[in-house]
Parts: sequence; structure tokens; C-alpha cells
Amino acid sequence: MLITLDDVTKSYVLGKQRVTILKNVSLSIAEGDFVGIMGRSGSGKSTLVNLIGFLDRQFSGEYYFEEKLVDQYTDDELSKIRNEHVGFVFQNFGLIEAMTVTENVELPLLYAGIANQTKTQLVLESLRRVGLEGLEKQSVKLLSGGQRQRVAIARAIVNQPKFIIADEPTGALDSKTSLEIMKLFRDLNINHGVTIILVTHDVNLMTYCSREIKVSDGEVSL
Amino acid sequence: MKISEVITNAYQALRQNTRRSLLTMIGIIIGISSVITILSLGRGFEMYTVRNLTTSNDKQVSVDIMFNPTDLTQFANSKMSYFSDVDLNFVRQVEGVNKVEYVKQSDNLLSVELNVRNKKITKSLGFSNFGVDKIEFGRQFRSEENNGHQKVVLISKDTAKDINQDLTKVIGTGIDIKGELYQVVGIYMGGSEGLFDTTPDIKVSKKTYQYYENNRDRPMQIKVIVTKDFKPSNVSKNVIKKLNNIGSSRNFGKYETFDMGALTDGIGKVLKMLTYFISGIAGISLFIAGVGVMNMMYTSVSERTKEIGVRRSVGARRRDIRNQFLAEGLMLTVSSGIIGYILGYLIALIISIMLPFRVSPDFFTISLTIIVTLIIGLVFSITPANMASKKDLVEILR
Repeated sequence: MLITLDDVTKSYVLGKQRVTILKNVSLSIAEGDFVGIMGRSGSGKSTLVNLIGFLDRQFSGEYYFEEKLVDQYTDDELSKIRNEHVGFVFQNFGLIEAMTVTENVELPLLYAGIANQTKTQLVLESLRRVGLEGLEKQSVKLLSGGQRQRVAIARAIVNQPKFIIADEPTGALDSKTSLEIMKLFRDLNINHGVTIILVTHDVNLMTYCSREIKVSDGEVSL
Repeated sequence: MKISEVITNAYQALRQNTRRSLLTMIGIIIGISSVITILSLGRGFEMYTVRNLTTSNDKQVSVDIMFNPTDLTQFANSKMSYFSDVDLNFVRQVEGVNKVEYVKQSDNLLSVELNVRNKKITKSLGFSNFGVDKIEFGRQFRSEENNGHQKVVLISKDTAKDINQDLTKVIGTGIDIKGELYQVVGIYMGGSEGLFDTTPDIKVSKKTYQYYENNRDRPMQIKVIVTKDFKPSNVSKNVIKKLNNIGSSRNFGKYETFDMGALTDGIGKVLKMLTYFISGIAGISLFIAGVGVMNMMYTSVSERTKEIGVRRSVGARRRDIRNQFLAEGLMLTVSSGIIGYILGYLIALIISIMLPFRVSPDFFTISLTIIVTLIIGLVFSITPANMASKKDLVEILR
């Protein structure tokens, strides 16, 4: 198993009240899966994927990544794991506006310390895969929403991660562009074997997924 | 992340907000350039003063030993001289002594007292570089006068005016230099008593002067040239000890030393302290500019919270984020430091055109600039950078 969550609970104290966001969540995701995480806003699905994506380590219960307990890793080690094994695609794209397309896409490679030549090659390859050839030097500011999300996807796949977390990737896009982005995810999943964890509240997107996980009020039903 | 990437990154980030970066830099530039201007001028003046105080040109380290007589009757009428050749031989045996010689008084710039119309005036005495003085009245030395030890002098226009307002009447009069009467043959330009003018008021031929001085020779001083690697103060102490024990005049006075080096050192030190003090005051502006850097870094961090989140999510460690902001702060301060140094040096250079000395860049001020700007960059960027690196990822990405 790539990811196994065992009895994971996430809660925090707000004023005098204890708020529980995730309640005794247990699930597992295998390599090659295209998992759709469904739920209304506020159901705790974003919290769940932040946890899966090693962004949040304040929880109780056990999380195994490739059969290893995540709890044991230090913050620096988690950064390294994110860098090597996880790709993030956010609803608001998560791009650095001041930079060009290439600079955004090569960001994970910079932190991985990859040599210049390999870096350029990897960036070009991943831009080609999302269909953005020729826009390498373009400033991100001038791109359309769909193009921006493609840049984000290119950045997510550039380090050949074990899995991609896509948190509402189509939330800010029109339906035609959404369709293109979803097709791109499916292509990555089927033809390149990339594990994808898709978070959405849109039932229509479930057709692309091979598995579905429903989250409501912090509880998971498979 | 590689250093080169960190640097390009920092440069790009600063370029993003050119106006803000430049304004912050101006503060540092003003601070650094004012410190450098003062330091450069101060050091130039210090070197100039010390150089003028040390008249001797030889590179060797020497100490002068004097004799201070208590019983003057012993030395009256040339019965005895303060130092004898035997004494010199004793001194030669002292460890660390390379060479001993009588001090020829004529080696130094002297001052003489002239009696003019029942008034005593002090004038400086120097040697004429044969033939180069610009003569306004009268004439140059003739070579036969030089070779024949004729007692003739040239005097400056100012000195001549002190003697007689009518300059033509001064030519041919005699002036008393150490008991010898010298005849004025020429009046030269210059000698105005400007602060930095070292032209002597009276010039004699070196050959003539030495001839008459050494004839009635009774050396008051000896010069001990110290062997390399020996401490001059120790050597002079030993020499004085020995002379006080077995010196020929030991029963009639005391042997002492007058350390010119200590005097110039002292003056140099005072000037240096003064320079540092004023520079310190100028340095306060650097501190204020540093607070400006901190302010800018805080603004920058809070503006770029999203960027920090994105970088962290793609694998930047906390220390990568901290280094990124530190690099920005350092680049800002160090580049302002370099600009400030050049500016400050140019200002000092322009000011020094009106002064009798020139400033020159030196290793000390350059390294001071780099160190000070590095420290300012580090001190005032570290807290904003740490704040950036400690931001909670989940908070940012919400």
C-alpha cells in the first residue's frame, strides 16, 4: 500500500470548545489509484488531504506512507518527502506570480538540488505533457486560468512524484477548461501510472475516478 | 538549493519591488558613505601629520640617547664632551645595537631665534636644495660659496619683511645663526605660514652649515640604530643602563632617551580616536537604516506569505525559506555598502582636493564596509526571515 491511514483523528481547541475535524478515519490508497474524495465544503476533505500530503502533522492516529510511520519524520524530512514524492495542485493554482512558467515549474527541482541540464530537460518534458510548449519564458501573470492550472500540473509532475494531490483543481475554471484539465489527469493516471488524489465537491468529476471516498462531517465512508 | 540559485532568487525578489528596495538602500548608502568619507579624510590627515612629524627619512629604527648634565662646570670651556668614542664602543657591545653614531644636529629641521629690532622672533631653518629655490630678490648661492664654506643664507619673503619692510635693504644684512653671522644674499618666494606649509623660513647651504657646526663639535646626542627584530624601547633601556654604569660622564648627569616614535604614535593615536569617534556618530545613521531594512523585510514576508506556502509545499525546508529572506536582506545591505563605499570615497576625494593630502582606498575601510553591512544585513533580517520560516503551512494554504 502506498498510503494507509489508521484511526486518524484531527481536532483543535477553539476557545473552550474542542472542534473535531476528522473522526477516526481509516483508509488506504494503492499505487495507480485515481481516488476521488467527495464532500461538501467544511466536511473536512481539505484537512484530510493536507494530512495525506504531509502538510499537517498535528493529528492523532497512525499514518503509514509506504509502510513507514509518518510520525517519526522530522519537519525537514517531511519537506524532502513532499519534494520527492508529492505533487500539489491547488484550486487557486499556487503559482508565484512574479516568476515565469519555467521558474515556477522548476521550483521542486531547485529544492531537490538537481543539476541545471537535467533540470531544463525535465521542465521541458513536463510542459510538453501538459501541452504548454512554447510558453517557457512567459510570465505567469499573462496566462489564462486553464493555462495556469496546466503550469501547476506541470510543476506537480516534474519531480515524478508517487502521488498527486489535486484540491479542487477545477474550482476556478469554466466547464470547458475543467474538462480539459480532467482529461489531462486521466491521461497522467492511465498512461503514466501516476496516483491521483482528487478532492472535489462536484459529483460529475467522479466519472474520471477509479475509487471514491466520501467525507461528511469529518467521517469517511468508502 | 545551490548558492547561485539563492542569489538569483534574492536578486529577482528585490527587483520585483524596485522602488522599495532602492529607498531602503538609500538609507544604508547614506550611512556607509558618510562613515567612509570621515574615515578616509581622517586617515589621510593622520598619515600626513605623522609623516610631517618624522623628519628622518631612513627606514631603520633608531633611538636617540641624550645626556642631561647636572654639573655644568665639568663641561664648560670644552673640558669634556657629553659623549666620547669610548662610550660609543660600550654602546656597540649592547645586544640589539646595529650601529651607533653621533647625532649631527644638522640632520634635522631646526629653529633659530633672530634678534630683530630688540625683538626675538623664531624662524625655522632648513637646507637649500642647491639652485631650485625661486628667487625673488637677490641671487642664488654661488658654487664657490658652497665649496668655500661662505656664510651666506637665503630667506623667505615673510622673514625678510620681519627684518625690514624694504626688501632691497635686507639683502646684504647679516643674521645670527647659532653664534655665526650669515649674510643674506637672496629672498625666495613662499614661506607663508600656512597650516600645512613646511617650507623653512631660512635656508642655508648644508655643506657650509655642517662645516661650522661640526667644528665646535660637542655632540649632545647619539643615535643608536636598532638591529632588526629587536624592540627599540628595550635596546634603549639597556644602552642607558650601561651608560649610567660606565659612561664617561656618568658622574655629572644622567643619560636619557627621547623617543620621537612615541610622540608621533601618540599624536597618531589621538587623531585615530577622533576619527573613530566621529565615524561612530555617523554610524548611528547606519543603525537607523538597518531598522529600515527590518521594516522592509517584515513587509516583504507578510506580502509573500502565499509564496512561502507554495515553496514549502514543493519541498522547501524551513531553513531554505529563512536563507532566502536572509539572502535578500544581505544582498540589499552589501550592495548598498559597495555603492556607499564608492560614493563616500569619491566625496572624500573631492574634499581632499582642497586639502594638502590625498585620500586613498585601503584594506581597512573596505573590509570594515563589508563587515558592517554584513552585520547589519544579518542582524536586521534574521527575525523577519525566522518569522517567514516558522509560518504554519496549513494556515498559509487555507
